[in-house]
Order: sequence, then C-alpha cells, then structure tokens
Amino acid sequence: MRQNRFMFGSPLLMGDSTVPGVPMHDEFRKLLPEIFRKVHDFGCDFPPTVVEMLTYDEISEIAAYGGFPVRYPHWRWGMEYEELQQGYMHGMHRIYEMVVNTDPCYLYCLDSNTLVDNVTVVAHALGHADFFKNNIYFGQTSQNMMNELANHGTRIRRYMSRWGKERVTEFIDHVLRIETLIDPSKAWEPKRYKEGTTKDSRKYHHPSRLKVEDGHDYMEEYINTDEWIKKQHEKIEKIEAAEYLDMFVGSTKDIMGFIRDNAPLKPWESDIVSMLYDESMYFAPQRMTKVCNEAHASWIDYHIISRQGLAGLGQPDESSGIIEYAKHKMGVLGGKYSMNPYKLGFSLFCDIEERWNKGQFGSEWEECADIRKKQDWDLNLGLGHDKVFEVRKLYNDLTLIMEFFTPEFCEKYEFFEWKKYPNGEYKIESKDSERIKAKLVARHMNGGLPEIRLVDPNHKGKGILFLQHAFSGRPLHDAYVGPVLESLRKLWKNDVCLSTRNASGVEYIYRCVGDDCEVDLMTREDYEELPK
Amino acid sequence: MPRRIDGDHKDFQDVYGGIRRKELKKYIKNGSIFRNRGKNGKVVVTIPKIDIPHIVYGESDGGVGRGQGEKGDVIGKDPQKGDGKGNKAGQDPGDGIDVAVDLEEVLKFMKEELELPDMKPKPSDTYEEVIKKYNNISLVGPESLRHNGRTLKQALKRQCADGSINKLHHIPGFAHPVRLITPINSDKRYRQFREIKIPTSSAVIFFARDGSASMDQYKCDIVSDMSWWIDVWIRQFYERVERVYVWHDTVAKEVDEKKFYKHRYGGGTTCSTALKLVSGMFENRFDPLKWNIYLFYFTDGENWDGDNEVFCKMLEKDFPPEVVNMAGIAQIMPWRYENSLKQYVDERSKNKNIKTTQVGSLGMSPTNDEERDKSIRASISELLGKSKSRDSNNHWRTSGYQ
Repeated sequence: MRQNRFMFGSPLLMGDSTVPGVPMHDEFRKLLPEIFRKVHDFGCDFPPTVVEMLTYDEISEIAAYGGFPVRYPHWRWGMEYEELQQGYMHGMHRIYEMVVNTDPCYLYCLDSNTLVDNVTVVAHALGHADFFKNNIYFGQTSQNMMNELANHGTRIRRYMSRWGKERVTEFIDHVLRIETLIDPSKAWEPKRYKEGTTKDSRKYHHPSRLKVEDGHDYMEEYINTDEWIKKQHEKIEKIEAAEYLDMFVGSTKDIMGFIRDNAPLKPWESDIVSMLYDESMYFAPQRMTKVCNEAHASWIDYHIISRQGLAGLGQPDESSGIIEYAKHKMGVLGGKYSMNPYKLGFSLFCDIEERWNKGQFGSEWEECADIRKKQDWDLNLGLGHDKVFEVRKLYNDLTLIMEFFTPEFCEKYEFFEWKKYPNGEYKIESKDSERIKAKLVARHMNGGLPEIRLVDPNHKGKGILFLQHAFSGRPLHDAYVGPVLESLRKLWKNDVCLSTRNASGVEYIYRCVGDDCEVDLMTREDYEELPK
Repeated sequence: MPRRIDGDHKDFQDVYGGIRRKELKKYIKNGSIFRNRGKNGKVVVTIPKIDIPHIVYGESDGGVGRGQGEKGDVIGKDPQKGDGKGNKAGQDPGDGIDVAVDLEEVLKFMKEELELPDMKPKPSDTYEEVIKKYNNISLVGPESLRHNGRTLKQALKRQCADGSINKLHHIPGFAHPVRLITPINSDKRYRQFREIKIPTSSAVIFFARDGSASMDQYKCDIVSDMSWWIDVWIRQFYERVERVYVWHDTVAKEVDEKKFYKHRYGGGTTCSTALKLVSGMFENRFDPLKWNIYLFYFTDGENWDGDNEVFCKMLEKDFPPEVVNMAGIAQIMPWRYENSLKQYVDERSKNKNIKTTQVGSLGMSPTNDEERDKSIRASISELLGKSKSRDSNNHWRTSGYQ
C-alpha cells in the first residue's frame, strides 16, 4: 500500500486518476480507522473511501478540476487554479478538503492542516460521502464518473489533434456558456438514444394504390396513373412536413439537450455537446443541494467531534482539541450579518434535530396557540437523529427551506431582510419571516439560476429559437445575456430570441441575428412590429 | 512530471494576456490611461473579469442576512466612488478586476498606439564614454589578433579559384591522400577594433507654467497629468533625467514639484520671464553641450500685451535645435486663438524643435472625463509624436473657433 493513502473498505482503484500526494503522518493514519468507525456507527453509510494527503498546490489543482484531475484540457481549469492559488497566497481563503462523488469516494486532505483540522475534515467529508450516496437527487449520477470524465478527456484531446486545439476550444467555450440551460429532472427520464440513421426509423408513408383485380395486371398503369401517384406523393410530403414541425410540443428547460439532439452540428461537435451535457447533468444535483450537503456534513462533524468526544483524538487530553475545533467551525460558519449558506443549513439541521427530539411537530404542535406551552414543549421523543438522516435522504435546498424554515426558526436565529439604498447603505428592511422565507425560496429556486424555457424552436416558421425567461421579479444580468445568446446562435445556426422583463416588469426581447451574431434589445411591441 | 494543470494554466494565461493587451490598448486609445498614475513602476488598469458567461440574475438590491438589529439599522455601506481610493469590490458578476501592469509595458503600447517616435539625443561632440570593441576585420595587424577562421576561409576561396584545392597531398599518418588548405600571407585576416562613442545620456526636463489666476485647479490637474506622462516617456530614453519646475506670474521662479501642481496665483502674466529663467540655467547648471534639454510650457494662452513678441523672439534665439532637443508649448483651453501665445509661436517660430498643441476646445472645460481624456491623448501625441506640418493643424483649430 502506498504511504500517502489510506483505504477504507475495498475500493477498486482506478488507474491514473490521482496526483502524487505526500506521505501521510503516522499519527494521523493511526486515527483514521477510529474516525471511520465512529462515523459509521453514527449512522452514516458511505462507499469505500480512499483518503489521500496532498499539498496545497495539489489540492488546488484537483479543486480547479472540480475534483476530477482527468478532465479535458481547457483554460477554465487554469482560471480556477489561478484563483485558488492567488486566494491562498493572499490569505483570503483556503481549501480544507475535497470530496468526490464517485465509488470509491476520493477524499483529499491538506497536509498543512493541523491534526485536529484533519480529523474534523475526515468526519466532515464522510458526511459528504454519505450524502452523495443517499440523497435521492444524486440517485441518477454515475458513480463511475472518474472514468467517464477521463474518457471525455481522451475524446476531446483526439478531436483537438484532429481539428486543431483552438478550433475545438472555441467550440467548447460556446457550449460551456449554455451548460446551465439544462433540466436536471431529465435524469429520471428513461434515456432515449438517438437512432443512428434517422431515415430508417421514420415512419414511412406509402402512396396508396388503387386495387387492380387479379389477372388484370396490364390495367395497372391505367388505374394507378403517374399523375395519381404524383398527387399521392405530394400529399405525403405535406403530412411528413407537418409531423416534422410537430416534433416539439410544449416547452422545455432542457435547451442544451435540445441543441444536442436537433442543432445542425458536425459529428465531433455533436459528440462534444453530448459529453458536456452529461458532465453538466452530473454536476447539477450538487448545485441544487449545496446547502443540504454542507449542512449535513457540518452536522456530522459537529456530532462526531464535539458530542462524541473525538476532539481529543490524538491530543494529550480528551477535550484539548475542542478550542481548535471551535475556531475551525467559526471560520466556516462565521460572518457578521452575512447570509452564510453553510450556517443557514447547519442551523436548520440543528433545529430539526431539536424539534424532533422534543416532539415539536405534527398537527398538535402546529395548532397549539399558547406560546408559553410551545416554549416548554418537550415530549422526549428522541427522533432527531433519525429525522435528520431522513432529511438528508429526501430533501434538496429548495424543499428544505420550504418545509423547515418556520417563523420560530427565523426569530431564533435572527434573520432579517436588507435592502440597499442609493447612497450605498444597507439597511434592515424587515424581520417578517414570511417575506424572508419567500426571498430564500426564490434564491434557491431552480438551483439559484433564472428559469429559461425553450418555447418555440420554429418561431415565425423560420426556425428561430425562441426562449422565455420565467420572470419572477429579478431581472437577468444584462452583460451576460448577449454572449450566451451569441453562443446559442452559433450552435443552432439560426437566429435566437430571449424574452425577459426588466426590474419594472416591462417585457424586453434580446435578439441575436445574422451570421455575425449581433445582439439587440427591444421591447415586445417593437419586436412585433419588425418587418417580416 | 509535468502536472496536468500546467497546460491549462498556461492556456488561461494566454487568454488573460490577450484580454489584458486588448484592454490596455483601449485605455491608451481613449486616453483614460493618462488619468492614471503609476506607482512603483506599475500602472493599475481595470480589465473585465474573465469568466464563462451564463444566464444568471443581475445584482439585487436586497437580500437576507442574519444578526442582531432592528428595522432601519444600517448594517453596511458601500465604499462610494470618489471618496478615497479603489473601486467597488467586484461582487457584481462581470465587474472588472484591477491588475497592475508594468510601466514599461504601458509605454510600449503607448508607442504603438500613439505612434510616438523614440527620443534621440541631439548630435553633439561630447561623449560620455568611448569604448573599443573588436568587431571589425583588417588586412594587417599583429599575429596575436589573427582571425583563424576568416584566414582559412580566405585561403579556401583563393584555392578554389585557382584550382589548387584539387591537388592531393600525401601526408604521413593519413591512409589516403588529402586536400590541403594552406594560407599564404595575403589570406591573413586580423581582428580590428572599432570605437563606439556613447553620447551623453543625461537629460533635463523643464516644466514651466503660467501662474495667472485663470490657470485654475482643473487646468493644473491637466498640467499634472500631462507632465507626469511626458516625464515617464522621456525618462526611458536617458539614463539620468533631472526635472526643473518653473512657475511664473510677472516674475518667474523655480519651485518644487508639489508647489508646481498646486493652484495658486499671482499678479499679471509675463510668459517670457519663464524662458529667461530657463535659459539662464543653461550657462551654469545645464550646459547644452552635455545635457539633452526638453522644455514644456503650459499656459492658457493669455499673456501681457507685447510680451508674445518677446516670447517668440526668445524662443527663436535661446532655444534653437542645437541647444534644446524639444520645446513643447501646451495651451490649455484658451479663451480664443487670436492673439494667444500659441498663435504667435505658430506663426513666428520656424524652428523644427518647437511643437505646440492645444488641450481641449476654446474657452470651455471638457464636458466630461471622456472628453478630457481624449484631448489629453491628442495633445500628448501632438507633442511627442512625429512632427507634422504645424500649419495644417492650425487650420481646423481656427475654423473650429469661427
């Protein structure tokens, strides 16, 4: 076994998927089985795990690749890397750990962490691993992603050597701009493979022939005359055209998937779109469960370290690590006035645990109007632990907030709603829990991204892609809409429109037209009046 | 082992370098670079954040936070533009990031963008240093300096020409007969030195300005911005550069840098006094034989009656090309062109080393920063750029006034 990794369970290791790393300290290695056992006994169910010890340089490399050091070559990873390196150099932030949603699960620790930090980090990361494995939103993600991404990398490298690196990179740049325009729920739809030759799978219409009686074959050309056959063909053409136009029914969020299936792309382009689509779908659940995931992991390490007494692990005294742990936790959950999503989730999980321990749920609790009685409500049910594990299985950020962000919670944890004034001041606007909840829900709706739907791929009968932003009060970031539409225009090879509204609710249409992809902006009325 | 990230990181730096170059060019082109002062040899420019654009929400003016406080409490404040330094922190997606660019790089782009020629030291007989460099070949010389390679080459040429190269010689120790190259005396070549004369590399820049009441703080700021960049530009061509600041009303005096840029005013205006003070320094402080001399004079065009004549005459007499490398006259937002200092200089002075420019349009201050940047850019390229015929310049300026 290599000196710099620790394996739990019997993970099937994949080839060239890791970085060299540094040897693991013996004192840390000795503690690992204990941590794993504790976390497992606490109820976590994680896949076989590989723990690796890395330097900051290596961990930021892996983090830059989103956890997968095998991905296709692209400058965006270099950009992430630069950001992480600069941030670390200037002491702005640092990465403590990195977990990857695969089976076996890879867990990267930082060698410059203190021992207590690393113990915490392992417990925390196992919480993530448990979440990845059990949360239903990750149910459809491939557990073999390390290999799949490596394959994508190989394929893209091959295209690069065939078609030129610049050309392929430029194409990838365009595809990456639309990577958020997907529908994560598509993961549950049965996969439909595009048939290799569309011609053969199409339902054929044959011209109907008039019957010629047996023995009178010579009458054939008089009964089914050329003229008649021609008429039939014309009819069929019309039917087929109608069927073709009918292919799109309703609207879809899955714009990237639509582009993959329908845009006139070259084979290599189409392959790249479908690879990046798969990657985007793989990472989509992580966007939807950021709060839950962090909350669960924080909650696990909080229990393991401070409640189960693991703070003293490897320390001279049973409780001597607790101050350091608290400091670490402060760093992660701190921030005055800021809306730290980690803290929101962690507080919610703690609140859920407390409520279910005391039995503060159900219709009896909700119908109780006596505040004092509610304050002292304690049925000693002890259901908290199980409820939290149920939440980690069934909820995402949106449903978590919708279900568990109660007025009591809002008051207890001192939430408020702020507003920015033109003079640059931020003021507390209200402490009304309903409004705060509405804001939080809006923020986590659709993974925190605007909901863009494709409503008509053949707008005006000209094959114009018409997108609709489901406006919910917040306008789009203007500077980015243009470039995204430009990329869509380049992929779809026909004009693209996006309808949205500004802050005061007036409908505007972004339009990207022509081969030079000029983007213009106009009101709906102006758009309707455009010459055909 | 090369790491995987290295390639991607390099790709990113290429992308970043390209964007930075483009932005820097833009900055120079619209002149806003001149509002910017370098610090420690770096100039800070804002470049757009490099990002992969996605459809996202715009900046919201409200949100949720947590902590103690009641309705109406102020929980934070944006750093306002204008007070203190620094722009707003880049929270908004697509906001720019500030990067420090080496001054040398900025000057390189400036040279390309504004087509500025290199400053040449004026031809003079005094040399800082004469060094000998063996980079020549001669037919005669001491044997110790013989250039064996060239000698053999010459012998080879000669032997090829007369055919003797084909002769085979039997040399003891060689299995086969071989060809030989045998230099004779006339083939010999010797290393020879050349003298390289390094002209003086010290320069002095005189910044002079009119200190009349009409040179308000706004104009002083323009003077300051322009002279800072002129200074930087000239400094890159000389090893030692000194600066002298001269301020005048009816009397001229030498002041320090701080006082020079500060708006303060005296009584009348006699521009020629500044020239008198400067030319007085040629005798004892800055000998024109040893120094490259640059003079930049900033005025708003107003002068004492009759002094314009004196000014032009002095310029002609005391600041000829043999003495002064360049004399630049910048007239900042004059009230009128007729009878202004610039008009006199334009019409009377025929010396090639004198350049004039007008910053801004007549009588009014530029309406916004953009205008201001543009006029400063135009003036700097007029002063430092390739000399054009001045008459053609004047044409549109006067017609613009009418």
